This record gives sequence, structure tokens and C-alpha cells, in this order.
Amino acid sequence: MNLEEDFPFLNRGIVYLDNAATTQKPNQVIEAISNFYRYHNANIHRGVHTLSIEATEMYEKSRERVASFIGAKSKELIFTYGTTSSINFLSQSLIKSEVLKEGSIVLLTAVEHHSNLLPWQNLKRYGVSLKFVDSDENGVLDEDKIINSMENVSLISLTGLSNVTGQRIDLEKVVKEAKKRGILVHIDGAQMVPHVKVDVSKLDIDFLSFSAHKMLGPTGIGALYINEKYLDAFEPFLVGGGMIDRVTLESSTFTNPPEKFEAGTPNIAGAIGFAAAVDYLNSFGMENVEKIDRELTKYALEELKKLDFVDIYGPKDERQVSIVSFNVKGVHPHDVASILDEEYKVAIRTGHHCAQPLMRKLGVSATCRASFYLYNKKEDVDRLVEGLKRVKKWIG
Amino acid sequence: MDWMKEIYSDLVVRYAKDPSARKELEGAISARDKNESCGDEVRLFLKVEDGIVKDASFIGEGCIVSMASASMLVKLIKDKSIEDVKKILENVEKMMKGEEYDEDMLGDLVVFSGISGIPARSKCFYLAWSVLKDMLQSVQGG
Ligand SMILES: Cc1ncc(COP(=O)(O)O)c(C=O)c1O
Repeated sequence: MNLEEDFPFLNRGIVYLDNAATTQKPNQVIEAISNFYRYHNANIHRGVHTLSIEATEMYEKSRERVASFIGAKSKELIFTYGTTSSINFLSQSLIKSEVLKEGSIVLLTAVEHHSNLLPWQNLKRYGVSLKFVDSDENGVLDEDKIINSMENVSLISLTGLSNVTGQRIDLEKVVKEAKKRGILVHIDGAQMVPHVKVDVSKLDIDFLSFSAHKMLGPTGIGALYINEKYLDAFEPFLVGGGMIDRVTLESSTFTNPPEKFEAGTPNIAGAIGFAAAVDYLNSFGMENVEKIDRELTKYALEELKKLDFVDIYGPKDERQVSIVSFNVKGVHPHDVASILDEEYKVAIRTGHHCAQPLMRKLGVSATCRASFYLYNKKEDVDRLVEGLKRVKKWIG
Repeated sequence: MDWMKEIYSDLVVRYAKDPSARKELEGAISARDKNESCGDEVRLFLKVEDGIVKDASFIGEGCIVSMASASMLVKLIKDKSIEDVKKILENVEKMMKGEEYDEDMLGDLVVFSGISGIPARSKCFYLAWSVLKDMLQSVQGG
């Protein structure tokens, strides 16, 4: 394993600090996808010819690998198009299966990504109501506050790691209390799964959503973990080909999970790329990924704190993993990002990060966000800091 | 890319930070627009008498490009007839699309002549002008 070889973009001299938006892809992932298209391409299931049998096997093996990456059983892992589609599918299925119904309360927090907010807002038309746990003025969530808001709640949908502040939530604590009260738990794992080891068999959550593209995999594929307890009772979210048992003109019965939840031709190459990405992470070691992310975040926080013209958001301590949000006083984030890009080849993200309610809480319309992954180095943080000093001098 | 040097030139930064155009105008008509994706916001104030822009100003918040563009707008349209302001706006739109335009009408704003090549920032540049366009429709005929 050699990062420079595996990630050719590193040779372009670009310091990529936009990993929370999407990560780069190693050659191993790109090869796995092109190898499938070159030599094994066919539609899956029901085919009797060699290629179709190979493709089906590759797809199902990919499911096994992604499932085992999060400690799930194969059948509990449903391929989707990404976190956003996972949460839409889940919320709709919970309504169709009458797990949530008129009068049910869903508990969310004020820091959620729009993708973990709008699908739940959509359920209001069915009489479901939403309740929110507020953060403090730095965007920090307090687990005790979440626990104290659990009364009469049917389901909690919570980010495992905030895409704005980088705060890792103490899920063990929250889930334990939720389970005592018989509350279902969905975790938006879009930022958590790529950066810290997650084992659903230990964590005891009911549902988990995540995206391949934020963990070295391709875009257009993600996963929804559904605990096996619910697989039979849950209604599929999409219906059509590939998920049926017997169909007449008037009605149909469905096949078994997980296929029951995957109507239509899935993103086969995407699943294969996803599995290649988790293979890469496994051989790199998730403990090493987390170590690098934590070290870089700690270092970035230390260095940014030294700049008196920079405001930092979030916990600013060891709870923060892989993400740092900040602003240069008196300078619009767009200007910061443009100058960093042009003068220092440093790529950061600016804007509301799909979390407008949290921006309002922080009292800003946008922030700058630097986010790290396994190929980043301390020198990348140094270049960011150098760039920020220049921004300050130039237009601050 | 040279455009960066121009966008963040002293001239542009000076306009963006110039406080003189930034105030509310009493007794003026006003309108606002916001770019939701980045939060940039501009409210424009116009005093129009006998078909002439007697006074103009703006308040707002945003990046250097959006603020400098608004500040230049205010300077450009003051004391001009509505007809002339419309012509200025037409030329601004031409510049933004990368078409031929009359440089003489746009004064310091030509520093943004390369904006057509930077789609990511042309929204910032156009924010104040889009407010002006809406307002012109409502003051139609003076
Ligand atoms: C916390 C969080 N949730 C959900 C999403 C949505 O993920 P996707 O765009 O892959 O569907 C993101 C990605 O930006 C995220 O950071």
C-alpha cells in the first residue's frame, strides 16, 4: 500500500481538504469498477449464462464485504444510491409499514444535514411530528439533552458525526437510553462510517445510512442497514422488477430481503467499487484512519487557535474528528476559498454545508470547512494556515 | 489564472470595503435579493425623481465580488436617467455573457470583464444587478 501510487491526484500538488464532501478514489477502486465493465458485465439475478452468474456473484460478494465492514449480516445491508436515498427510503418504509403513524414523534437535532431533516419533514403530512434537540451557540450537541428529550418519542434519527462541526456523538450513551425506552434509532453515518470503526452488532442501533463516495468509493451508491428483526415486516420502498415472487395483473408478492428492497437493476459496478473501497480501508486499518483523522484535526485546531483573526466552530476538543469549520473575521468564506485555491492549491468547502438551521444557530450564513482523510498530512494543515494568513493580509 | 489578481485587486477590495455607498436611504424605494447557496444578500435603495436616479445606496453582506459590484453599481447609476441605467444594465449583462459590450458605459466595473469565464462567481457579481433589474420594472416610466 503506497498512498502516492494509489492516489495519483496527490501528484498534482493539490491539497485536498474537502473530504467531507467526497473523498478521492484509489486505483484499486477504479480498477475494480473498470474490470467489471471490461470482463464481467451482465445484469444480475436470473441469468443462466456465465457472465450473468459472475456478475451476480460479484454483486453479492460486494454486499457481504460492505455488510461485514459495519458488523452486519449480508441480508441486513441494502444497496441504495447514497445516504440521502437511504433516509428517504427508510422514512417512507416506516410509514408504509405503519411503524410511524399519526401521532408518532420523531426526535432529531438542530445540527442535522438537510438529508436527515427533509425526509422526516415529509412525514408531517401523515400526522407524524418532529421534535428537535438544540445545540449550543457553537453547534455542540449535549448527549444528556438528547436523552432528556426522549419522552414519547418513537424514533431518533441522529448524525453520528456532524458534517459541520465534526463532533462525534457518544452513541453508546444515547442508544443505551433509547433502547431502555423502546425507541428506534437511525444513525446518519455519512460522516461517521468513513472515519471511525462502526460495529452495528455491538452498537445495537436499528438503522444506519452511509455513502460510498465519502469513503473512497464511487458516487451513486450507498447503503441502508436494517436490523434483521424488521426485514420481513417492512414494506419495500421501491417496487418493480427484481424484487418479486409472483406477479399477476392485479397483485404481487415480494421476494425475500434484501432483494425485496432493491427493485430495478442496481448500481452493480458501484457496489463492486464500494466493496473495493472497504477492502482498501480494511487493509489500511480503520484504527489507522481514525488515528490520522484525529491527529490532523487536533493539529489543525491547535494551529487555527493561534490565529486571532479566525473564529472556529464546534467542540474544539477531542470530540472533533476529521472536520474543522471556521471563518476568517470580516472575510466572506467564498473569498477565503478562492484565494486558498488560486494561490495555495488548497481545496476547502464553503457555504452552508446543507445545514442551514445550524448556520442560523452559529449566527453566520456560511463557514469555511476543512476536512481530512487518510492521505492528508500535517504539511497540508501548514499550507492551509499559511494561506489563511495571506487571506488576512490581502483582504482582511 | 489572471482573473484572481483582478478580482482581488486593490481597486475591487477598495470598492468592496468602501462605506460611502452603504447606508439606508430614507424615503427611497428598496428591494432585496439573496443568493441562498452562499448567503450573499443585497438591499438596494433608489430615489427616482422625474426619470432620474437622484440618489442610490445599498446595504448587504457577502463576498468581495458581490459587495464591490454593488458598490460600483451605486456609483454608476447615480444622477443617470432611467433610460441610461437600463443601457448600463444591458451592457453589464452582455459583459457577463461574454458578448461585446460598451466599455465606456461601465467605468471601473470593467475590472470584472473576465467574469463570464468564472461561472462560480458570476452569481456573486450579478446579485445587485438582479435587484436593480427588478426595481427598474417597478419604476417603469419614471
Ligand atoms: C451528515 C451527512 N448526511 C447526509 C449526507 C448526504 O449524503 P449523500 O449526498 O451522499 O446522499 C451528507 C453528505 O454531504 C452528510 O455529510
